[in-house]
Amino acid sequence: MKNYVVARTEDVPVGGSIRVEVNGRAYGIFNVDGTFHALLDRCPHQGAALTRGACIATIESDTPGEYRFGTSRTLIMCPWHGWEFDIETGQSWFDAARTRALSVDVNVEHGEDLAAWLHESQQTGARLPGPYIAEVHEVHREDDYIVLVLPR
Amino acid sequence: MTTVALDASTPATRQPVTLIDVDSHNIPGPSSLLPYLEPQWLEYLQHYGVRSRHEADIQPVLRPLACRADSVPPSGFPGSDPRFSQAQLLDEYGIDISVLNNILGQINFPGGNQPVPFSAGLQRANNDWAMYEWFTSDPRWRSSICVTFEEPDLAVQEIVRCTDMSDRFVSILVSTRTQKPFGNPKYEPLFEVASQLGLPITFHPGGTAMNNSTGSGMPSYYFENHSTYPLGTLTAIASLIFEGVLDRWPGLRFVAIEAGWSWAAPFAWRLNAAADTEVVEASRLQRKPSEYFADHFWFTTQPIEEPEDPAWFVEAYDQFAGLGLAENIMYSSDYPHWDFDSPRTAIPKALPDTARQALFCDNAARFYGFGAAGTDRR
Amino acid sequence: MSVSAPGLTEIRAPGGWAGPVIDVDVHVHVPSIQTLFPYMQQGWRDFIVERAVGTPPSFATVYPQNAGNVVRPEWRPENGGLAASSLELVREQALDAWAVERAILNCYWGIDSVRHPDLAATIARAVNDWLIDEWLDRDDRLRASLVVPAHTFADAVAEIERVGSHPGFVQVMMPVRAMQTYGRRNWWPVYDAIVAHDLVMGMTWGGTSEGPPTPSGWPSYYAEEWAGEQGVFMSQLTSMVAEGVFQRYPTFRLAVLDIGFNWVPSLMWRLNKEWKGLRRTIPWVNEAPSQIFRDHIRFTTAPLDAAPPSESARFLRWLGEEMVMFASDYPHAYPGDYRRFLDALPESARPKIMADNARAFYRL
Repeated sequence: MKNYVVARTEDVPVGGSIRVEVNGRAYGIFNVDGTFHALLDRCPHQGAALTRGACIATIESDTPGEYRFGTSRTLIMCPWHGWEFDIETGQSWFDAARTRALSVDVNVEHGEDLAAWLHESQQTGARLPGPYIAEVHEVHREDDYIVLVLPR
Repeated sequence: MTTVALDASTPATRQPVTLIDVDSHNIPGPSSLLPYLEPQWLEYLQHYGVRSRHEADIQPVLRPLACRADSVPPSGFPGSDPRFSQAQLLDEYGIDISVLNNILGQINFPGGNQPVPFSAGLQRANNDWAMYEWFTSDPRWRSSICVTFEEPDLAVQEIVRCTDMSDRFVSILVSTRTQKPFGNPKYEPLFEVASQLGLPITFHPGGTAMNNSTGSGMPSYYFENHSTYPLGTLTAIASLIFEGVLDRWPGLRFVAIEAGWSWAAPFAWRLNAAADTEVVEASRLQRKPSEYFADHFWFTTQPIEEPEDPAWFVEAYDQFAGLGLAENIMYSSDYPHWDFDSPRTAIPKALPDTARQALFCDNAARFYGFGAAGTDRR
Repeated sequence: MSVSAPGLTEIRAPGGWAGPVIDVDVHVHVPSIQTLFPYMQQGWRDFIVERAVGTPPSFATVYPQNAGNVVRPEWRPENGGLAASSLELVREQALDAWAVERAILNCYWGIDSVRHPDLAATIARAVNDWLIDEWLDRDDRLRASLVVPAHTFADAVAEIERVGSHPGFVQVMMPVRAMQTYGRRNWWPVYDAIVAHDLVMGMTWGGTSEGPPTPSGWPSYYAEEWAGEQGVFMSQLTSMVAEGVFQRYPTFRLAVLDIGFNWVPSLMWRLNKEWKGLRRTIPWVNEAPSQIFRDHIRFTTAPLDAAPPSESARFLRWLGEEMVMFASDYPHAYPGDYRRFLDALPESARPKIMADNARAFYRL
């Protein structure tokens, strides 16, 4: 697995998302109440960019007229046909077992740790790939960073 | 009004045509039509607004204007900016020709609850907006003609005016829901002008004709409204057949947009059953009902059928084609509406290449007379 | 000239179907308003005579008796009387003709077109009592739908309460054209009563609506209207699914009669597709519409709608073998060869269609 530094945590607003690209593929980074999740930014239905949709709360009901509103924006609604996906797992609401958006592991790393590794790799002249690949960002010690964990 | 030769609108070179989209939408924003309204109707609009009923007002749609969330141009109004639509639809997917259907034109329309000449003025403005801002913007746009179809004589005037202006007006836009079923004698002036000009008539949902969308009153939810779009077309087909319209005007052609197509074969057989038993009514007809379909009714792909088992899609297509309708299905995007179908992903890959070629290009090229598949004469 | 559907009356011929038959839709007709007099107070008989009340008007507009598909010629009484109007006729022409194990009678007599609420309630009561007396009590094979007034929901509830426990009544007839879409919450008191009595809701052909039957006004021709009536059923089913009737009433059973089944898969697919994105606006629809259909709704074989038998078989495969029940729709004259239809089905499907699905659904 490879770790890609893709954004600062403060780039992703609570209840929102950003789109990043790694190796030609786009991913959505989502912030659900301060916890970060990542999905391939492609709806499994017809390929729309999920990050162009809205993060929304659940609405559940067992009988007409009853509404149970969730309080956290834990779902992403596809900007096209409105399919709802759980941001954490990628599972669709209507068919959790078989229809899902692709969920990707994501970690948060402190800038200090990343900077230390980068400094060391520069000192030793070690070539990437190292444990972290910072594609776009100059790493600042005082920031926190979102790291995507990808197969390659 | 003098006609304007839109030299800028014709392609400089003959491009091969490979992908045709027969349904996209230009949607006027709040100020789009103002330059095209006569002063008296501008004043009327400012005082009274448009009061013809539209269901989006009473059955909340999925999103503003029922559009894709990512289709909002800088102006803030999806479908209102030709350059934005050009980039997001035509350029993005390599669409060679797209036919605009301005359905706001049948919503702020001749259904009633506002003066007829006001509705006619709005429709003229809709068509002028297409003419002067969409056709000039990109050679790939075509458009249907917005008319007050419930006042057929007025509609004929507008159809003639538009076709005199430009050959890029390629069909007549009618709501799937009309005040009377569309084969009714009331609409004969439209059959006549469509036949004379060789223009197809497009059925598109959206207008209400101030009727309820069901036989038992208005539904509560947009889900009901949207799911039952086929009903208006189904009603129109039964009417056009049994009123004998297709015998009297054998050149008439209709395209049913957003109605689906997997109901067409069973409905054709049901119409046959009706004709079998109701000899007193059906003996006037020259053909069996199912025999009218291939020559007169075209269907569009969006919203694409999604059977429970994907294998049934090809079965359903084969059943449809078995009625002689392989040339009667055409790709449509419905851009920028939320139920948009991407040409890259919506049509199942299991459909054979010959069917895909027909559906994505050849059938529409033939239907609209866009020239032999591979070139655009216009 | 008329249409003959040899497969229907020849279902029992050698080489045909030899197993049980449950016919879920046999129409019976009240011969005249006077037939119902024994089941009314004298005051109402006088009212009817004074007002010259006859057969409710929508009976003739829904079923013009000389229209091609309303009565098969061989089923017209020789004396010129009304078809399907006596047990003797119906026994000979239907019940014995295809040797039914059970048959469910549907007496559509246009009560929905009676606007006077008390006259409507009086006629409905009388029809139900007539059905008990003249039909249910005289032939063990018979079950029936009870009829209700259409315009005052409380009266419909009262009638279900009055006779709904009679063992012969298995269903409440609710004609497809109605005052409001059948999903709407105003119907809940009626559905409470239907479910409390463990009856099936029978959505039958006919009814009176407040406006035209199509989204585009009034059709001109009977054939046109007949063919397009499919749309009325489609919108009513869509309404009941959308409004959560089957969630509020988890045991609700709906039989959709007189309209066949070929058209159902296309609708189911579309409802499923739309629901995936619009679910949020109708959040109580917490399972796919196709699952709701399979759990709660059944259709019948009548009419076969002139589809080639192999295509009818295909529609059945898409829909599911449990979803369709045999109905003759006697005395109607729909084209459709039942012999060839059965032959086109897999063998496993035939007993389900001809009896087992109905036996399970109606608990016969």
